[in-house]
Amino acid sequence: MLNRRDKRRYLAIWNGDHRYDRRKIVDAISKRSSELFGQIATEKARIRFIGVDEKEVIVIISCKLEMLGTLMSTIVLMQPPIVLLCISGTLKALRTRMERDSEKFFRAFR
Amino acid sequence: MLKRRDLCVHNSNLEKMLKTAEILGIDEIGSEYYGNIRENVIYRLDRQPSLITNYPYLVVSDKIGELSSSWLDLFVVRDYVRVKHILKKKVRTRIGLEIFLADIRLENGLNVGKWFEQIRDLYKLCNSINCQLVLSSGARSPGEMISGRCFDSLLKLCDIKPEEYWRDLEEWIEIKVGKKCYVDA
Repeated sequence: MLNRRDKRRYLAIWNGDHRYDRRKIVDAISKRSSELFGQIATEKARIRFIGVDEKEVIVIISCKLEMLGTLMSTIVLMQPPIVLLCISGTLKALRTRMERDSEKFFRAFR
Repeated sequence: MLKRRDLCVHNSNLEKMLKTAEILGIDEIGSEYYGNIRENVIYRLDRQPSLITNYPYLVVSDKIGELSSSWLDLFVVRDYVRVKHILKKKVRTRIGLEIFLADIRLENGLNVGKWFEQIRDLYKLCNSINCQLVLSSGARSPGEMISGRCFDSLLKLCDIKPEEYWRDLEEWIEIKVGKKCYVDA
């Protein structure tokens, strides 16, 4: 049987200053993406909120792999700025990396 | 392996900026000179020092009157439309033309679109007059810095091959910095 599931990528974003409400960050990114790349490209990216870390400073979102470049460009052009920390193909790998590097993130951004 | 560089961050806490750069996959940063010399930093000066230094530096200006000065390494393009014709006439070869992404970030969608078209145009101009396009974050804090992968996606958006850009930038820095400073191996 054919695998019809979308290939997705999971992105960890630093939101330590709480510039964005953790649940509304996807709305803010989608809004900027629509402004820059149009509604069709934004819908195609299927940006989803996945969760936050324990300390609520890192937000995890996901998008379709084919639109990853568009989403990364949008992230750079967000105002107020947000920082893309890491990207992974699986949520498990992303969380492992976040746990491993969380101290590093705190030292750098706090 | 190619090094990714963000040649402009404005923050005196270089230790913090370097830690952030490491996390974000940026190998070298550019910063104003605050007296301390750090590894993986290229310093931005507004005047050429009279003696050979023990730190790498680039002489930077955003003043159009200084564009054809022999000591200038990097010219900051703040309003491309306004300076385009002057650039074509006055710019010296091998100079770097820098754009800050922090400036673009503040614009609305319409103007961002225009900016990107201008970067494409500037890249073509750089290729035709043998200059180096430099895209920098212009970040004032770690929270404004841009990851290496995001730089790559922006370059693709400007129809620039990231590998080519980073390689050309590396060669350009070697030429510009190599001649002017003495660094112990």
